[in-house]
Amino acid sequence: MAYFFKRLLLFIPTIWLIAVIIFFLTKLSPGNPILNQLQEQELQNKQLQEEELHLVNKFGFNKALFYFTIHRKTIPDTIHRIWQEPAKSNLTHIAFECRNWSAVHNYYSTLKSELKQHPSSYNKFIQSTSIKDIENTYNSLNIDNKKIEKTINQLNNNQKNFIYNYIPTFSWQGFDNQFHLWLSGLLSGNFGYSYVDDREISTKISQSIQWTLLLSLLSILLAFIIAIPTALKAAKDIGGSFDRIMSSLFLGMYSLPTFWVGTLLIIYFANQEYLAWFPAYGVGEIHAESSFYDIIYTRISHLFLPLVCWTYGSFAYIFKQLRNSLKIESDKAYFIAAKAKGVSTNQLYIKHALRNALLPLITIVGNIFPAVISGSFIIETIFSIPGMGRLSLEAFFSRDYPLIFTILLLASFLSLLGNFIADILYQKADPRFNLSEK
Amino acid sequence: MKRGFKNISWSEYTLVFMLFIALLAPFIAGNEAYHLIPYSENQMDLNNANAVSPFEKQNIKSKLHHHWLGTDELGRDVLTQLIYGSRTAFFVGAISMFFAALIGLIIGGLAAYYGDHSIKMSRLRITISTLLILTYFIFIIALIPWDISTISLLEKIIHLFIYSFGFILLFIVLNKWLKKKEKQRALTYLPVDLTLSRFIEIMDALPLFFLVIAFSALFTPNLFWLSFIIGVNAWPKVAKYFRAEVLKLKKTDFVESAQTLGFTNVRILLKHILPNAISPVLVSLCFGFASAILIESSLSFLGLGISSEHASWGHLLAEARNNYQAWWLSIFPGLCIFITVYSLNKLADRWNRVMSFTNKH
Repeated sequence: MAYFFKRLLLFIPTIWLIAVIIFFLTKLSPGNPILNQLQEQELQNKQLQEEELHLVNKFGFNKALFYFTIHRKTIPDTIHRIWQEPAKSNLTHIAFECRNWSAVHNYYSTLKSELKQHPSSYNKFIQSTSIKDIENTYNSLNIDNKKIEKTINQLNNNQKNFIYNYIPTFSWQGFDNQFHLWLSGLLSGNFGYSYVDDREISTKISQSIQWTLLLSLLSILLAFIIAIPTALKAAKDIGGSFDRIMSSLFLGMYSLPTFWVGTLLIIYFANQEYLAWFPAYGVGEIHAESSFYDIIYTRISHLFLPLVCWTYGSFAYIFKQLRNSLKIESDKAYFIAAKAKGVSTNQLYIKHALRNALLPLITIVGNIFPAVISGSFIIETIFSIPGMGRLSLEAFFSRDYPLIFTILLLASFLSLLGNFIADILYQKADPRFNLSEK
Repeated sequence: MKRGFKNISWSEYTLVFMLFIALLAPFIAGNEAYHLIPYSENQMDLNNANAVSPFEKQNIKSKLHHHWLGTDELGRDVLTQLIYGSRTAFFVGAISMFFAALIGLIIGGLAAYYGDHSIKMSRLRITISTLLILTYFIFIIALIPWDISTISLLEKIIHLFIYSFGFILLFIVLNKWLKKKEKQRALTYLPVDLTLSRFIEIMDALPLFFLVIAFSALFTPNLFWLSFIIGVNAWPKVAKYFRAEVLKLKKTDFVESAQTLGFTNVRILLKHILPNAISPVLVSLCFGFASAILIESSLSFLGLGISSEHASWGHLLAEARNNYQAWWLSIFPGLCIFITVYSLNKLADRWNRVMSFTNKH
C-alpha cells in the first residue's frame, strides 16, 4: 500500500512537468490564429483596437510565459508586454544587434507616437529586422521626421559591447503569468474557451468523449469475445495447424493499416456503386419521436464499420498473450495433476488454466483510458464520427491552443492513471506479484 | 520451430526485394533512356491526368510509356509513386529506429548495469551535479540566440559546442574536487536504476502517437525531423527490453569475471553485454520499424506528414478517399504497406520464437 501511495505522490510532479513541456511546445510552435487575425487590423480604427485589447487581456497574451525568465541582458524582463508578433521578434533582432535596450525602446515608442496616423509606414518600419533595414526604410519613405531620425541615430551610436548578449539574466515574473493562470484555471475546473468558436472547452470535450468511450468499450468487448475462445482452441494444440493459421491470420490483421481498411470498407460497403449496406459517415440522427428500436438500429448501422476497423488489429495481441500464458500454465504442476485426475481437456483449460492465464491481459484495461481521450484519429476522420480523435485533429489544424493544452494534458494524465490502475488490479488479482520489487 | 529458421522464409526475400527497390529507385524510374519506368518522382503526365485506370486506353507515345498501375488525379504514375514511396517508408523506419536504439540502449543499459547500489556519492555532489546539468540546459536554451534569424545556424552550433565543452569541463573539475573532500561514511547510493526506470515508465505511458500527431500538426516537420520524432517516441520499448536483458546478464559468470579482471565499465557494456543482449532489442526494433512505417503513412494520409512533393504511400491512399472510382489508388499503396509491415512483423515474430527456444534449451 505504501508503494501505491508513493506512486500517487509521484503523480503530481510528473503531471506538472508534462504540463510545462506541453505548454512550452505549443507556445514555441509558429502561428497563433487570434494574433494573426488581429495583426491585419492593427492601428486601423479605435473600436477594433479596444476589442483586440479585450481579447489580449482575456487570453493573457501580454503576460509573461512562466514564473521566471532567463534571457540575454540586452532584452528587458518585460518584453512580453509587446505582444504584437512581427514587432516583438523584429525588435529582439534589433536589440541583439544594437545591444542597448533603451535605444530600441526609444525608437519603438517614438514610432508608435509619431506614426499613429500612418499605419502603412509604421508597418514598414516594424517589418525591418536590422538597423540597416531601418535606415533604408527611413530613406525610402521620404519622411522628414527629426524625432525618428534621432532615435535611429541613437541605435547606431549608443551600441554596447557584444558581451552583453551573452550575459544571462534571471528575472522573477511572479504569479501573474500565462502558465500559472492556465494551470490554476484548469485545477479549478475552468478549462477556458476555444479560440475558434469561443465555446467552453469542457462542453466540447464532454460532447465528443461519449462516442469515443462507446466505441472503445465495445471494441474491447468484441476483441475479448473473439480472441479468447480462439486462443483457448489454439493452446490445446500448440504448433498445430489451427494455431499456426490463426497466429499468421491475426498477425496479418495486425499489420493491415487501419486507414486502408477503413477506406476500402467505405468504398465497397457504403457506396451506391458497389454495396450500400451501411451509411458512410456520421453517427446517425435521432429524432425525438423515434422508437427505441429505431435508435438502436441507426446506431448499430452507423457504428458497425468503425467498430470493425477499431477492433481487428487488437486480436493479435490478446491472442498471443493468452496463448503463451496458457502454454506456460499447462506446464505447471496443478495442471498436470488435474490432467492426471482425469479432468476433461475443455474443463482443464476453461476452469483451471484460463483464470490464471488471463492475468497479463489486465494491462489492456489500463490502455482503455488513454484510448478514450486520444480516440482514433484515422477511424474517426474516415467515418466522420464526432469523437475525441476528430476534435483533437481539428484543434491541431486550427491551432486552437486552449483546446490542445487540455486534450494533451488529459491524455497524458489518463494514460498515467490507466497504467496505475492496471498495476493495482494486477496486484489485487495476484497478490504474489510484488510491484515494489519489480 | 528450429526448422523455420534454417531456411530463409519469404518474408526476408520480400524485405530484401523492397529494400533494393527503395535503394535503386532513381535507377528504376526516371526520364533517362535506360530507365525501366519512364517517369520521374513528381512528373505529371498531363495527357493522362484525372486518374486513368491501368486497363483503360491511355494516351501514350509507346507501349513503354504505359502506366502499369494507372495514374492519379494530377497524372502522376502510380507505380513510380509507389517505388519512391518505398524510399520514404524505409528512410523513416531506419532513421527512427536508429534514434530509438541509440537512446534506448544508452538509458536502458545504464539503468540496468549501474543499478541502485553501485555508485556512491555524497549528497552534496549529487545535488551540485544535478543543478549543474539543469543550468546547462537552461543556458543552451536561453543564451544561444536561437531566435535571431540573422545569425547562421553554424554560428549557433559553435555556440552550443563552446557552452557544452565549458560545462563538461566544469562538471569534471567540480566532481573531482568534491570527490576528494568526500568522507567514506557520509555517502549515499545514487539511485540510477530507480530514476531511469521511472523515467522510462512515464515515457512509455504517454500516448505517443498522439504527441507525434500534435507535433507534426504544429511544426510541419520535414522527413528527417519526422523520423527523429517517431524515434524519440519509440525508445522506451527498446530501453525496457534492453534493461531486462542486461539485468539477467549482469549476474552471469562472464560479466562478473570481466569485472574482477578490472575491465572498464564501458568495455564490459559494449564488448561483453551488448552482443549478448542485442537479440530482444532487435525484435523490438523490427516491430518498431513496422510501426514507424505505419505512423508515417497514417500521418501522410491525414495530411499531417511530409509535404506532398515527396512520394508517400499514405499520400496516394489519401487521394483514393476523394476518388472512389479509382480503385488502383487504394489497392496498390495499401498492399505495399501491408506487405512491408506484415513481413517485418513476421520476421520479428520468428526471431522472437527462435530466441525463446534457444533461451530455454
